[in-house]
Amino acid sequence: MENKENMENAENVKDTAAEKTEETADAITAETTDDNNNKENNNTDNTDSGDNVKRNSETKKVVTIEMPRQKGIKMEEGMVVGVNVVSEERDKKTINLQLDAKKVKKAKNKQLREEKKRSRKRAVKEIGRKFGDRIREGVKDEAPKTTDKDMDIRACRLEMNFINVIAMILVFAVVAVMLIVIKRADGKSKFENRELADFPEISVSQWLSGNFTDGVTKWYTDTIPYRDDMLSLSSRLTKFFGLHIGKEDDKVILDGNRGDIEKQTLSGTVTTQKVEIFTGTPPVGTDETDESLPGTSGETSGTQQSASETTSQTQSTPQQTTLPVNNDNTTLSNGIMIVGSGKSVRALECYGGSFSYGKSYAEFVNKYKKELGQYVNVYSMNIPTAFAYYCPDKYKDDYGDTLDNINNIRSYLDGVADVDVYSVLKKHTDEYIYSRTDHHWQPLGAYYAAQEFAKVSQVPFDELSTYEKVVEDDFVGTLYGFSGHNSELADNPDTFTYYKPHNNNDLEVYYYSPDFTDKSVRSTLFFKAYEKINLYSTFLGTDQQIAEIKTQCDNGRTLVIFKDSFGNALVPFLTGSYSKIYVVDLRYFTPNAIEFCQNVGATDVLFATCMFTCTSSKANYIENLRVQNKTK
Amino acid sequence: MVFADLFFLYFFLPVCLVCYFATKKLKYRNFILVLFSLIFYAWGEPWWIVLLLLSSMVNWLLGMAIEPRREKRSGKFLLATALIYNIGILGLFKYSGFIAQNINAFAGTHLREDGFGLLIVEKLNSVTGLNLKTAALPIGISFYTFQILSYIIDVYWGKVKSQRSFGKFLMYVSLFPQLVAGPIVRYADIEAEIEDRKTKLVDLSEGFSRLILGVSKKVIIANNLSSIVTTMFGDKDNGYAGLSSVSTVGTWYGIIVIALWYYFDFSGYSDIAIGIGRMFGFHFNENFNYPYVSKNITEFWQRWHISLGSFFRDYLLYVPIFGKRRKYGGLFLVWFCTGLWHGASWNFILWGLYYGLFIVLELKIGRKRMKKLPSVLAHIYVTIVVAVGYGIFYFEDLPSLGRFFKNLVGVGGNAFADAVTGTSVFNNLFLLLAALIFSTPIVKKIRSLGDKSVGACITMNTLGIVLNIAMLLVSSLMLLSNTNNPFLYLRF
Repeated sequence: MENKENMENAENVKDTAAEKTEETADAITAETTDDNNNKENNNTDNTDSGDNVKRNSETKKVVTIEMPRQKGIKMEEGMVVGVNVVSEERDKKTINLQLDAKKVKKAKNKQLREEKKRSRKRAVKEIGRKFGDRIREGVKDEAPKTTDKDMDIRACRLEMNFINVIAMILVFAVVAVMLIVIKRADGKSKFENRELADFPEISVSQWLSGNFTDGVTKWYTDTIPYRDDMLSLSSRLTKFFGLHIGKEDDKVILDGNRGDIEKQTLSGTVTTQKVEIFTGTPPVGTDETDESLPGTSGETSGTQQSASETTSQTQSTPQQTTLPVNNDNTTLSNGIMIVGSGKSVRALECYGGSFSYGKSYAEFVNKYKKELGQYVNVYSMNIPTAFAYYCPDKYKDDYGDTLDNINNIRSYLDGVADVDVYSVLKKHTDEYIYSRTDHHWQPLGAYYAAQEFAKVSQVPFDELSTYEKVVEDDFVGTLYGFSGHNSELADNPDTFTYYKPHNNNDLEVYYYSPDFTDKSVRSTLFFKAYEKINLYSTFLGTDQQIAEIKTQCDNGRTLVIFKDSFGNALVPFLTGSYSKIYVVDLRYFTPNAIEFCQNVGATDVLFATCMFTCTSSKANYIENLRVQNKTK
Repeated sequence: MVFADLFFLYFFLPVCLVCYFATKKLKYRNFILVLFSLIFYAWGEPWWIVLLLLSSMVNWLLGMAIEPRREKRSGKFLLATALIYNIGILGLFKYSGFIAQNINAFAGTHLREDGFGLLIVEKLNSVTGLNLKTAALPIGISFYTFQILSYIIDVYWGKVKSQRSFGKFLMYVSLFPQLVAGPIVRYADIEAEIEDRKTKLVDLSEGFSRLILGVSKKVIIANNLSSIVTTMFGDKDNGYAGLSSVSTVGTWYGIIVIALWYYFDFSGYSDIAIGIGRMFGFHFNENFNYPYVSKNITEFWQRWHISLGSFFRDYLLYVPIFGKRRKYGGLFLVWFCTGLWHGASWNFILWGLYYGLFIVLELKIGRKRMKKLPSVLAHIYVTIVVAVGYGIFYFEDLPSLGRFFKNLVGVGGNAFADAVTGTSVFNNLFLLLAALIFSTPIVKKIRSLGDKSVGACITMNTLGIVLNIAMLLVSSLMLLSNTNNPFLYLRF
């Protein structure tokens, strides 16, 4: 059956070829360019018209040598896709004649081409079946015993090229069609704590601004079907790049940028000021405030100047500072280190901080103390990240040292009370004080920090035993996404344990928009996180809103916390210590911070930020809040 | 649009190929190529396409005008006009900001340093109330300007005939495979194929394979190497923060990785261009020819970014503006321009002159004596020169460059060795080995085994097809996360 078909094809092909004997030579010269010759021909000499001549002459040579050796029907390499040219048995003489004839016929080229097209149409019909036969033939007798091995290899290569083209077209087509047909991922990424890109709006201005085209490309990749699974698969692939051997503690994977590192260059011991904490009630009197106001306003004109000086480092004016205002969870400037494996695997955000920003931070905080006056206590709490305690010793020299940076800040604090969280947490490193898969601390860590803060600020403090413990399992935090979806982390999730105060239901909690308007209805401190990755936002929900908490505590003290996301976890542990607590996020707050503190009658102001905030350009937020949007 | 992107690979390219091969007449095929090329360009630069069209139109007209006046003075005048126009456009858009910076630095003036392109866009935005994208540098401008220059000069020299059809000329200038990232394809090289070309089966097959090879080089190897580099040094965005702690050993390791990364990134992009070009029936010249097997720097530049090197050699080196001393004057000019072409920044100029220095040095020593050097030493020599060179290329601001050199020789105050380096080597051991192996012609040798017998041909080709599919799928997966998918050509 097959053979018969083959024969038929052969005849057809012969016919086709016979019809155009006259112009075959032309076709061959044009199309039998030896592929390899061209490919290797990467000389970069002056290419003049001689190049073309050379190419032609080479081709002719190929033709004259190889054609006579052909036995039976062979396909030329000069197969045109969609259109094929077939040659048949002939002898050297004919070819030479035809080559001569070709020169004469150059004028008739156009006519020939049309002729060729007609014959091609017939040939096209054969191509599919013919290829099939050739392939089958090839499989049947691996090495057909013809006199010329080269021709066979040529034919073989041609067949393989055909298979390759078919395979590639199939792969591209299947993937391309699947990416169109299958439902795309949308909504929120399970592991990256962000909304996936939406298909962009179409409009002329969107297009001109480049947003439309950018948006389409981004959307296309961002909403790939089964995105999370694919990403996890992709990260598993990168494991093959390296050799991961050694003891559990030696297993370290590094990923991402290395940050700036400054080692302690201060004098050996850091002398921190002893700060008096004012616990009484400030003398109330209009005189007092009136007196302080001119002072402060006079000062502010001066400090505004210095503000622009400090921010000129970051090349922006205070009001317009375009610091990363977005949710800082989505960007990460420093690298990720993954230590250990199995149940003890831990992802760490490599620390790198800058002394100069640390100094600015301290100076910024000092200004708050100065402006708020002696009756308002200002505290600075620099919260270490897990890296400070869990980075293997041998890497310590390669990254920033948390204690060095904290000491640097301390040496510049003036009138501001330092809350030494670093040494407190160091005592508890074998407890579950930091998440292994999330860049935040565990609520237990925040408890120890709050305890220390209560001690410094001389307020009562509820012991942990009075809290109600809530345990959430299967917590895979933000570092999974940051680490490029390291599968070890996904396979060994965290347990997130938080503590509800015993008087939780009596707390009066309200939320305001970042400009301190739109007071919400009475709410709660704790929220149900919709995604496991967001378990940390159990506290206070989102970062943007301003929280106001009235507690049962009757010491009359009002605390304002300026914080980044680390500060959120502190709040529940202070509900027994202050009568009123305001929680303000540095990154989103829009009113003037000093006025805000004065208006709400703050007695205590706490800056609770992680090391990445107080030793980086993010410290500028603190200064911005102080000088922005003054009403007086 | 960039090549290393899922949208390009699985949407733009397939649609383009289908449209192209759905038509038979060359006229329609050319039209489709131009159309898709313009879409491709407008995708990233919705507005700068105007400049591309303008340049094409002006140079098309000039080309036709120059041809009949080649021998006359008016021809010379037209050539000068064309040169001034093209180099002027390039200078305005690419170098005006840099020039302003330097004038500000030396003369203490306060010129705007944003560059001409941004000024135009801002002006237009304020006048028309539109919201045009404010990219300072029209992408690919260096590539297409150089292509146009080669055409104009070749027309003047009589090497090629001028193109009468604007459509075909526009196709040459805007051909998307080489539009934004090269190679610099000369008109003379594809003149015949612009007029008449056919895609043979072998072209399509080799084209696909080459495309996949290029994508894999870029996505699997180059992108992952680039993240090693940022682990060691940091990147431009964080002020090369890693320099503050990277050890001497780490610095050397880092620059060798940079050298590998650049090779796989640039040559991967060239492979993609050559592959796609081939699918459409164009045969572009090779742009990279295993540069890291070179035994001297002269040879290195004959193997690295060949289209750029030969462009400067053919059109700039023999320009007689230096009189008797033109050999060295010309060399200086060529290497100064080579550096400057890579970006408007001093470090690139330094990088170019650095190579010029070694070229002159080798010229002085003489080819014969260079050959006497034992091959191991020769390779070490080239590796060191090239790697240090890419250090200069990587650190774009001079203070960082200074710190880099201090670390390189161990006087920066950092440790001699650090744990991060060791961990990074182990974390990426197989990747590094693969990079080293594939930067030699070993694959080419293995492929040629398939020419021995029919059996070998079938085995090798089957292997090739399986690898093609595997590499494409792995690359596609890795393209999903575009956290480290840098596009190096933005500054060119």
